[in-house]
Amino acid sequence: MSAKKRRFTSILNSFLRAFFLFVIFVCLNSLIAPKHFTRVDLTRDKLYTITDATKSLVEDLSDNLIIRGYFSEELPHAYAEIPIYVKDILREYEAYGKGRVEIEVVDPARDEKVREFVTGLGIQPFKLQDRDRDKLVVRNCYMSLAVFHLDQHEVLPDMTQMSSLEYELSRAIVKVTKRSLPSIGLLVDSQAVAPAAPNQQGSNPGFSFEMVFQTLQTQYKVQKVHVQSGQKIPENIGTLLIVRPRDLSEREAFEIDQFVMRGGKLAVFVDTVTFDLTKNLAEVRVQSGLEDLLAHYGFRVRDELVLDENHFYIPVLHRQGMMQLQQNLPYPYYLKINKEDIDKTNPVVKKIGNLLLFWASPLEILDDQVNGREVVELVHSSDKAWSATEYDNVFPSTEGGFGYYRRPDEKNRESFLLAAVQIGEFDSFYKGKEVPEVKKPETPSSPGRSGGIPPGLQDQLPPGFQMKGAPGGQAALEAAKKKAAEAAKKSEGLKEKPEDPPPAPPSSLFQDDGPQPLPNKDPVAQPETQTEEDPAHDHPEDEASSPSSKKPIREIIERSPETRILVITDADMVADANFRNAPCYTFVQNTVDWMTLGNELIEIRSRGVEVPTIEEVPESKAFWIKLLTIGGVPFFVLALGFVRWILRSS
Amino acid sequence: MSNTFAVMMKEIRSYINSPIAFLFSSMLLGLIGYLFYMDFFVRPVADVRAMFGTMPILFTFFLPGLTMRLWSEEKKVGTLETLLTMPMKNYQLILGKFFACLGLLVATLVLTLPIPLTVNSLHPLDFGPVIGGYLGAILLGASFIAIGIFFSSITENQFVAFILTIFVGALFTFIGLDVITSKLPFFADFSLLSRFGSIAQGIVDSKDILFYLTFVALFLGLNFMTLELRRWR
Repeated sequence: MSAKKRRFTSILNSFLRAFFLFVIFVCLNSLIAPKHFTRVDLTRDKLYTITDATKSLVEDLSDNLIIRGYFSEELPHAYAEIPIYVKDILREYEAYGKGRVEIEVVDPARDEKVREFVTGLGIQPFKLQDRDRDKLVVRNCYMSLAVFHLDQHEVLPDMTQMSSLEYELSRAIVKVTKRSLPSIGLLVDSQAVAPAAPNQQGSNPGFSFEMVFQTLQTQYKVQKVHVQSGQKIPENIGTLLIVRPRDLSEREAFEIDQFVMRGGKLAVFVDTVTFDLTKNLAEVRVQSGLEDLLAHYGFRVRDELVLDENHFYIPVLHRQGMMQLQQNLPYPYYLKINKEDIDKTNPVVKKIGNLLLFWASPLEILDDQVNGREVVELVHSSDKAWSATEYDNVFPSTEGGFGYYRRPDEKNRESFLLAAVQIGEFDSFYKGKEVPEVKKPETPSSPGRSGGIPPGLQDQLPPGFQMKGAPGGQAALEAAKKKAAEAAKKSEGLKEKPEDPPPAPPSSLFQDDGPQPLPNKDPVAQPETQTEEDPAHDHPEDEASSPSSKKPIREIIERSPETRILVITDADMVADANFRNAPCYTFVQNTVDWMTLGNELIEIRSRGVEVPTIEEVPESKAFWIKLLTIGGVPFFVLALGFVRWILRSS
Repeated sequence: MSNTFAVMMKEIRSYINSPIAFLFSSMLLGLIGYLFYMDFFVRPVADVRAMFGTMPILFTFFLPGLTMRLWSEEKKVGTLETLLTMPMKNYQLILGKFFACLGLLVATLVLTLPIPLTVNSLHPLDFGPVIGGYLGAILLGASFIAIGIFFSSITENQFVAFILTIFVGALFTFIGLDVITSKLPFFADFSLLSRFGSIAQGIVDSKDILFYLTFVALFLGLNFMTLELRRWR
């Protein structure tokens, strides 16, 4: 081979090698790496770590998903970090989306067409205050997100808060990708009362469950379930919440059993006894009628109350001569559940810091009925608790020896199970039995309506009882109603509004054991009377309803597919009086999310994302910092060079 | 290995024996500090992402100044032929020069530490993204150095090497701008800027690390081939 030819071959070889190197570079980075990668989040609070649920949500997309952020380019300083964080999180969605997630952030103010488009989506600019040269100005700023998938879209209109972004976004994706979510059924105390109209006597927030209904309605399609006439629980209901079941008939228990057998998920908030807030805490015994059914499933609620050294205090007003004094009395019936007594694995409770239960009963798991199902003990009392069948000082009297409770010896105290869930397949309680007949329901008397507080007792009523839940609860109820109305207006029930922030934390009950402030002295806010939409009632023809006259011809499903049954021995936590307490609200919402959305979507709970703002730095300090960093360090380097030069020259 | 190290030390010595290294370092440090503090007290957030944010553009213009002489000077002074006949492999020469430059960059980056430490004294800083930022800065710098070494090897003229490095470096940086990637998202995969953004945010992704490593390997590989080709001139 001539030298010239060899040279040519070598040059050609080099070019070919360079070309192959380039091809390898392109293939590795655009074809192979995007499919096989791992990401490590170095941030302290794992700010950018999206949960496995979100990852699998975007990984499993069948069609392209577009997430569009609508953010004004110029935002007030307080909000300036938000679009940056949102973009960062969106990039995570994009990274795991295998090319199916497209993200874009635009400023609607810059383009007339975009502005019209977002207005059509219902996105409006926020009026945000900003400081411009010592003047307060109000700017119109866009801060919203929208998710598009095929012909579906979902808008997250308010992105002025960074918390719960992943949760809201993933929920929106679930909604646009899965056309319909299962409905929630709510079966409440047959003696529950409707919230009374403002200024109307007889509101009884301990017996009203309107707030939970309204709150869930902002996120799910919620139906009130009535089975006393032998109606089947509607097939479209995937999760059923039974709140303070009372005197349920055999037939109602049968319908609930068959609901479980169809694979429905069940959460029961059960009371054995409760106390009427409007009647000096008169004892109200509650027979659920589900005792045998629950025992068959492996749950037994003991007809006792748990009292705990780890409890809340209740502010009580009492007269002493001319003076009216307030005293914080220990109230062992209000259980304060600490973090260490809450299960760390189950998504319903694992992120709840603490929980508050009111007049709860001990729960037992009947091992011989569990049949190999997974049992998760969710909530326990502290190990300094005891149980009682006779209730001392339920109404904390200030007469001699107040705050007295018969306490067993330290060694006789124990930790009681208060909530548990079973996951697995269940056998029907009615296997091999007859379908129970429908009984004509008796008309119960409403416990809260007739009462009212005798004027003479007014000053003795513990305000903690009297007031709890009412003012803040009313506000939350109003907010929930408003949301629900908007949601209903926007779509036909399935298109939900983004999750509402939890209602305001409770005022007095949610404090530590220290002194508690007196509740609001304003007149007790009375929840408004409202005409609720009740699909199960309004459309009885939808159900396979069988009037009592008809003989039920029903096949009994004898074994369920894998499903979940949760039992908690306190329904008061769901009553309007207490539902505003953040842990109660979160517990219910987590339960519903976990049962309805399944998987681990619930793990995407809101997390606070805090902007680490530095307090104002004095000008002189700022000057020195700037001087040292901008001037000092470079000067140090130059000085080093100079020394080196001197040394070399010498 | 020892050959690579010897070349590296020789290059580092030649850098610090001339004012280049000190000038390069002090100017880069001054600009990083100035650009960071320009906005910092206006919107005081305990976060040094803005400091890393200035690096792609600063590196685009500064690092070519450091790399332009690596081969061009050897060629110009005629020491290249001697170097190539020495008992060491071409790749050792390339790696030695590459690591010398990278060492200088790392030393400069170490001197930017007072910035995060000062911010930390004002408000506790999340050091995760800071570590990510430095890792990203080193990888980004390594990529610019690799481009620079390659262009220095194809021309005797340092200025031409400088301009070509800026041009190609800027190209690989600016194809990652939002204006471009929103229309041509494919470019984001090959942009030094896009990849850097996510590391500086505190997310270390194996994709990004692989990208930078293959990017450096590509340009060092091209450099290797230009040296091989010299044998046939």
